[in-house]
Amino acid sequence: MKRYRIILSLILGVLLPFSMFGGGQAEDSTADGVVELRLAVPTDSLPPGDLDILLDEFHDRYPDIRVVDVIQITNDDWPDYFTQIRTLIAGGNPPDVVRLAIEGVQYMVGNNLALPLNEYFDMYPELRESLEDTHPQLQGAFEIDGNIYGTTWDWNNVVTHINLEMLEAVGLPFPEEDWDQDTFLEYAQALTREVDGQQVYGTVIPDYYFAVNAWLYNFDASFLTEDLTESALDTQEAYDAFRFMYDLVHTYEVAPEPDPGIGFIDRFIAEQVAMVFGGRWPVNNWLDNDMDFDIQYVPSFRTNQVIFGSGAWPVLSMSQNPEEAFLLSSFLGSEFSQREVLSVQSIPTRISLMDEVLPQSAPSNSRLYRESADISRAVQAPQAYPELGEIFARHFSAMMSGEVSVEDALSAMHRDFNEALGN
Amino acid sequence: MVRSHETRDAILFLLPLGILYMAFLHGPIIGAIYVSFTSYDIITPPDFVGLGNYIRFFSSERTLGIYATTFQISAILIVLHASIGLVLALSVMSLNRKYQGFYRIVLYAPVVITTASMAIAWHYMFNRDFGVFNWALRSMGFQPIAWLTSSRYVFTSISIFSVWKFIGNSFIYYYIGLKSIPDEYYEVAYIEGAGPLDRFRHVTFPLLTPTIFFVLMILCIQTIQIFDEPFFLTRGGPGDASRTVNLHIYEVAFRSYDMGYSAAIAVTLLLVLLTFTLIQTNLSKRWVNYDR
Repeated sequence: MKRYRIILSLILGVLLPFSMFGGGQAEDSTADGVVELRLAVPTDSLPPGDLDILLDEFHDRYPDIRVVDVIQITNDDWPDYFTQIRTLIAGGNPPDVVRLAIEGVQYMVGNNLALPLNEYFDMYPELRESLEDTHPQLQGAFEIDGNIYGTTWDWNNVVTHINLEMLEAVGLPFPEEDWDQDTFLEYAQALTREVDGQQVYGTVIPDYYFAVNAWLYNFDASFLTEDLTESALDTQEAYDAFRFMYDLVHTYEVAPEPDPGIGFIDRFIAEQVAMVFGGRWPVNNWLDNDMDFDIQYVPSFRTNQVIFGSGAWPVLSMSQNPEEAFLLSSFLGSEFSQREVLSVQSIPTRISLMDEVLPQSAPSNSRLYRESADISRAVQAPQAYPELGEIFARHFSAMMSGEVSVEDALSAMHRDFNEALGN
Repeated sequence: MVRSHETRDAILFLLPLGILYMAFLHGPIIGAIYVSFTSYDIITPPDFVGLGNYIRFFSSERTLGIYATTFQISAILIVLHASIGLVLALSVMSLNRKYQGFYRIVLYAPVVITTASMAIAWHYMFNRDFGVFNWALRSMGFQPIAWLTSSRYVFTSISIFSVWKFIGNSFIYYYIGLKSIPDEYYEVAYIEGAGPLDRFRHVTFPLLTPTIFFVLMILCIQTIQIFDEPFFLTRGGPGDASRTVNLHIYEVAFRSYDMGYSAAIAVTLLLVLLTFTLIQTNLSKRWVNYDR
């Protein structure tokens, strides 16, 4: 009896783990002639109720297609979101269409997880019209090696958000578009002061990958080479960029030390800093808090090259209903979708819509969002983007805390980036 | 004498729980051991690499350094939790019974509040420029401290938060242990003329050793696996100054998508914990007193 118990325990213990290596086959998704689709979105990607507006319209237009499951994915950041998408795929019940940012498209395409949609655009030539109105620079992020993986729906960049009340308090005019490093430092120094016993800083330094990438571009540097296969942090320009960030905090003392748990949005709302760096996504926060603000380009430290990150709704390659999923994907990236639900926190990718909506939106200088698209450059997000983000955060925090010198931190980042990229 | 049908009935009643136990505890452990011998990113099928992940582990200065950091944090937290918990339990026990319930609630309440929400609040309090702790320091004429962004102070800030959040656990174990000591022993000691220190040394401590052993063992297991505090407060920084093994396992798995290497680190952690537990259990025979 004892022997049988032991044997039974062993058999169960050995067999059970293998159940986790399930394949990525989706269940049968057609019922009564209606094709059922599953959609995955980050929980904060759309205001409540807006997705319902889109899906109601989609169901009206395509009565034989039904989105039966919307998987709302709570996440800390894009890598966290991608991890959960992977888990859904590995779990054998993947969605048909996913909301995806540029930070994940290289991985999805490189691992054949995203479906090329060229043949479906050929089947539905009227849907190509969306592509023609989409800004080519922004659409380019989702067109790889001649394959189209989605119609870009939204995008964001990095500009300087400036508290106008603070500017007025120190008697400074709004900075010009081509303001340079020296002018920026003058502004930061003038804006750094004590107000009612509380320290106020002129600026923050960027402390997340996207914004630091933006600064690197304006220093005529970059994290990676153009083909995203090697680190490019071994240049003088890259060193100058990181050195300047370090000096803003420790030498000039015009920026607070970066804190991983307290973002620039909180600091700006609390009026602890006068200038911050982000795209259109924080604007709603400023409006909700009745802030008097405006935007300007990131200072032209060496040049002015605005970063962009765009998003779309790709179809997963394991979808059992690719044609219907394509129709959903195209609809979600359509003018209707962008016009109806794309809120202030994102920028539409359709040129006609940008020209129409942005001049009427806060802040006053919103035209910058439209104009910057023409000079924009994609954020550098290869397949190993999540790992690169972690490497950057680790060495950047060590550098900014003074644990290691700027040279050593950059050298270590360069080495670890190359290792992560397989060099 | 147990009859065979009683044994059979017992096994049948225990079997459902046993299956669940195997499925959710032993199964994943065996699965992790298997994955540790592969290269696996959960999308493509696992690729057998033999001891490659373990060789990589033992040749990685960074991973071994993270282990050293974990042991340091663990040692500090064990001493703090074990000693402060005991002091608090003795203090509460010395109060009038009608007040003990109130202090039990006060001390245990932080344990039941979600760590994430509390860590966010503490993060703001620890902030170098705008946090309340540095405001207090500046008010008293001291320089502000980089609680979360300096390797000199991250252990301190993690310890402060950890003790505030989780001291209720060791306190409650000690409290229960002290409650279980019969009053007669104290009465006899009092009659014999023993003072408070003597009563603690000759009555309380010997009879509390089983509880102390249990607390130390639990603390050892929990602190070596610490994740919440560094994740929510410091994200393991600055650099790797507060990066613990569990946090590293999480990042290797869900940032690098290297499940095989992540599993190998997890298996080594399991072996370390088993080793410590065995050592503690063997050593306990020398100092733990189960006689009543």
